Amino acid sequence: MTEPHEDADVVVVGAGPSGAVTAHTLAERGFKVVCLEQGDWVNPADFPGNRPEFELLLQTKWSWNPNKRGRAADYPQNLDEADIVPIMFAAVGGSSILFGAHWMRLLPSDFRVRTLDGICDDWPIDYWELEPYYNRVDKFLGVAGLGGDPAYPPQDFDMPPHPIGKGGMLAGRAMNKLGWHWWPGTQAIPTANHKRMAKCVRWGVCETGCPAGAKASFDLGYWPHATALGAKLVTGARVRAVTTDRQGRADAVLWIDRQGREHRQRASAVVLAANGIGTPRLLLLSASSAFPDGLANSSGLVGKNLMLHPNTETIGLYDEDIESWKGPAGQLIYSLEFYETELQRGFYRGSKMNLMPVPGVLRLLSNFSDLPFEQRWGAGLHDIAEHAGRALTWSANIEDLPEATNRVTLDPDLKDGDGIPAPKVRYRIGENTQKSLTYSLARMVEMHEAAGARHISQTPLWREQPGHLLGTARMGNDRRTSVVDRFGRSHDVPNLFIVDGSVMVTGGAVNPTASITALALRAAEHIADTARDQRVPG
Amino acid sequence: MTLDDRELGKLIRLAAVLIPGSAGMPAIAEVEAFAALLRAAVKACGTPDAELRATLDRLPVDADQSSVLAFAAADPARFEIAAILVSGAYFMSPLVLERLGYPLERRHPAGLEEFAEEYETGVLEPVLGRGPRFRDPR
Repeated sequence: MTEPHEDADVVVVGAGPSGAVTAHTLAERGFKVVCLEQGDWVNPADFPGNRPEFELLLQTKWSWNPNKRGRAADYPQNLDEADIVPIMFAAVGGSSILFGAHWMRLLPSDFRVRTLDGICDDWPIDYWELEPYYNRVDKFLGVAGLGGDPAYPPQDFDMPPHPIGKGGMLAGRAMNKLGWHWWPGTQAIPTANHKRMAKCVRWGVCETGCPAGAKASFDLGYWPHATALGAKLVTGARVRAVTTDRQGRADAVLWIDRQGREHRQRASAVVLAANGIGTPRLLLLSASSAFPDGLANSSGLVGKNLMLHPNTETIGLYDEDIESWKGPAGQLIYSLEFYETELQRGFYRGSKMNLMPVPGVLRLLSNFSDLPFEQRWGAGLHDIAEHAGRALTWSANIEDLPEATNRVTLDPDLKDGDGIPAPKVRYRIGENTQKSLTYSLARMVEMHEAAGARHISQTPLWREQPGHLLGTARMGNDRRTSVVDRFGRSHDVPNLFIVDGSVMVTGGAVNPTASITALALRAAEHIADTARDQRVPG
Repeated sequence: MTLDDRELGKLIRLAAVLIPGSAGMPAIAEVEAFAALLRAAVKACGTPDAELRATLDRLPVDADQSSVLAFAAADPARFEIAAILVSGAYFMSPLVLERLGYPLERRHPAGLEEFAEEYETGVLEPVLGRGPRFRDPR
């Protein structure tokens, strides 16, 4: 039996960054908002980072990979045809619980890849249309950074930047020697107490959850403010379908609680904020006689064009004392030197590179696991470990181009804990992406060399990074070539909106949460502005 | 999973082979309460009991360099499970961390002037001197 609930104005699926911003914005405008989240609240006291055994806790219980973690809130993914693992975390705050809080805007060129480079498609909006929303989310979260980066149009931040530390200074001077762009890291990590968040004390474990409550994961950065405004947040609620009425409008979502009971939440509008894999999965699960290929899928593009930002990494071991146990991690500095298309490199688009400390000894050792036994163990172990605290990692976030064959579908066999079909992710590193990976890796080796690294280890492809899940329900003006419009509204179902990374037309190469949340804020205000007359833009 | 004495003994022996003492670093026998650290490592690691038990069963009883090398070559996945446990336990030891130069206090709040002092070195001047570099498609 399906249990009904009091009707909502808007039901939001997913309590990660975009769901949090949407719920907050609509609650502030007086809407009755219900958000359904399959995960739970995570108590910062439970995070592993301040425990002596924290690196061991990352092996399974706090693994970035949901297939390894296997919590009740997680759903499995069939990755038989995936070159990298799409990481995610189901919880209030979503994957921001485990993100590094690198807070980067897309560049103006990212919105005009077709115009500038003759490939992919332009976005239906440009940088300047999104800029005010970037500014507002930055201000709300207390983003810390140094304005004036010449790689960007003018931007500034309320919160002063974090020190770049001995490692950042060493690498920055090396970049100056090379004549390459770099800038102190911008992060959603406050450098002073801000609202519900504490000042960063540089535990250096941002990517495993901040034990000090000093990172703007969205359970801290937005949700307390959203619930204070009346947004209702239901945890342990796994949505299995969006239903539609006879007119083809979304009228409710069906969700399953932890006891296996099914519920029906009716609403005047439905907002999907379930990430670039969860959202297409849900749209495909919502197929019906009226929408036989899945909801909002008349274009056939739901699930296609998955972009994951493959990462490549180099760790440099140094003789200098660079205190690499100090956070934030976080990014000490970043470089956009190789961000834009330079055709003489042999590929389109580029990468964002960031320098991070390497606080954990096991993390350092794991990068040398390919050494012969004699060099990896015994006396060899101490040779590597003596560089603990004196290691820096440059990693590159690669812009992968949208390809229809990289896609999310429903697995015919694999099911989650509630018997709902799991996603099958087909993702292959394309030729252009591989060239960019190889090129970026070589440049990062040069960066370490210029800084005087004694030894450099290379990871050509980091299999379990990052959690950037993009492109699977792209926005556009043409309903034949896009899933949602410029505000995230479905072309097919006018009261269905998508606000997560699925809507991105191209992925850029920067960490996407700043863009996802700016887009969500813009979409939520549009929902509020047009709700009264259900005006659908032409 | 709780380790019995035999399993614990096997892991300690493996640890001694993989992590001998060096001029600056303590041998396993010098690490205080190493058995307790191993138990904590097993608990934290979260390896399924059956998998861990099978790994421990296959560990050489009186591990030495050649038997461990043979085990690692024959079953690299299980060797990896055991190796992470013993190295994880070792690098949890305050003595070991101290010898590596790690501060045992892991909170390092930044001073108010720390970034300003970095900035005032002029380290960003070459970057700023090159001027704006973004492509403006308008």
